[in-house]
Amino acid sequence: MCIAYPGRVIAIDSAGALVETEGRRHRASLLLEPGVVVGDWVVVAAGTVIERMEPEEAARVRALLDAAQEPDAPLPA
Amino acid sequence: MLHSPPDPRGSPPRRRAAERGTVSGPTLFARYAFGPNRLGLCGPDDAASLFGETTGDDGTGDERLVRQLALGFEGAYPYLQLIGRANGIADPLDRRVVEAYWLGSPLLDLVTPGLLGESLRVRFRPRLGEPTWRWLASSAPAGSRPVHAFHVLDVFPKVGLMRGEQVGRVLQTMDNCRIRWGRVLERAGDNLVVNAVPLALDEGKLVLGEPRVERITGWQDGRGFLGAVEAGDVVSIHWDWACDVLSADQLDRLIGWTQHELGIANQTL
Repeated sequence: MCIAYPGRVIAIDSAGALVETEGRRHRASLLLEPGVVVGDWVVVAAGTVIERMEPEEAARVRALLDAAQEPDAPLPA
Repeated sequence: MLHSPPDPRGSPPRRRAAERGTVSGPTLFARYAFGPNRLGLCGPDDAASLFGETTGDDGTGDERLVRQLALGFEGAYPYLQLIGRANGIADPLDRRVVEAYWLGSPLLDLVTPGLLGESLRVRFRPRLGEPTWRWLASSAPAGSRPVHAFHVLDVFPKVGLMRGEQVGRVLQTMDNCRIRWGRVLERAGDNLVVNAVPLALDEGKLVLGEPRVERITGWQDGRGFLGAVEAGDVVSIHWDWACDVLSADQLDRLIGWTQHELGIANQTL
């Protein structure tokens, strides 16, 4: 999508990556980050992977997303 | 290098909106959302319905289904809600709201930096790493508005991608994703040959470049959103898909809001 969002790369093929975030899967180009591998956490914007997240940053975001998906759990500010 | 800025508008579009009729807000949303949706880049995994329900012979389809699909565009829909709320319009898919988001309109003036900033904080702060959130948080105070061009033009300079060997690829990516415009030269089957205005870099700043001839897609097996289109019409383009025929007023707003967001993006360059 056109906004920036984090997600985990779950597959890579000749057309780019399949990135999962909050239960949804979207395609993303690897034109700007060709070194991405399956399992990486990345930031996607404009249909393109623009950044690989550092492991500790990815872990923090993943924990926040997991917490947000629990029923009645407010998103942390 | 561009020594004088090209006229991004050219001569006025040949036809007025009133001559083509208008479509509902949900259908207008679909016209712009379909380009990236058909490529799997955003929205629900049902591009066939998004297309099929908005390109019927009588121009109408199952609006309830289109509304349901629109909810799945988790990038765009909250902005529609924000624009609607700021303007006292209850329906996020009201045509005026939809057009404001994709092309820009005076409705954006009522989305103050405070409203946009709070919306961004709620939506993105928990979901983004600190470096990415920092640049996004700076956008509202800088004057950005919730128009589609905002994220597209803002993100790449802010994350430092407008340098080095990949600048050409970044410009191409931004051009694919932003709503562009092009003057129709001819139709070639399901394609249109257009004179389109690309992004360029001039002395390190993002500018609208010289128009260039491109081939874009306007139809699938003869079906599309444009209806009858003639040489001289100006069409809007999203991910190389022709979304709509623009009136002179719509084109002016699209150019104006694109330049507004370019100006903010250039503050980083």
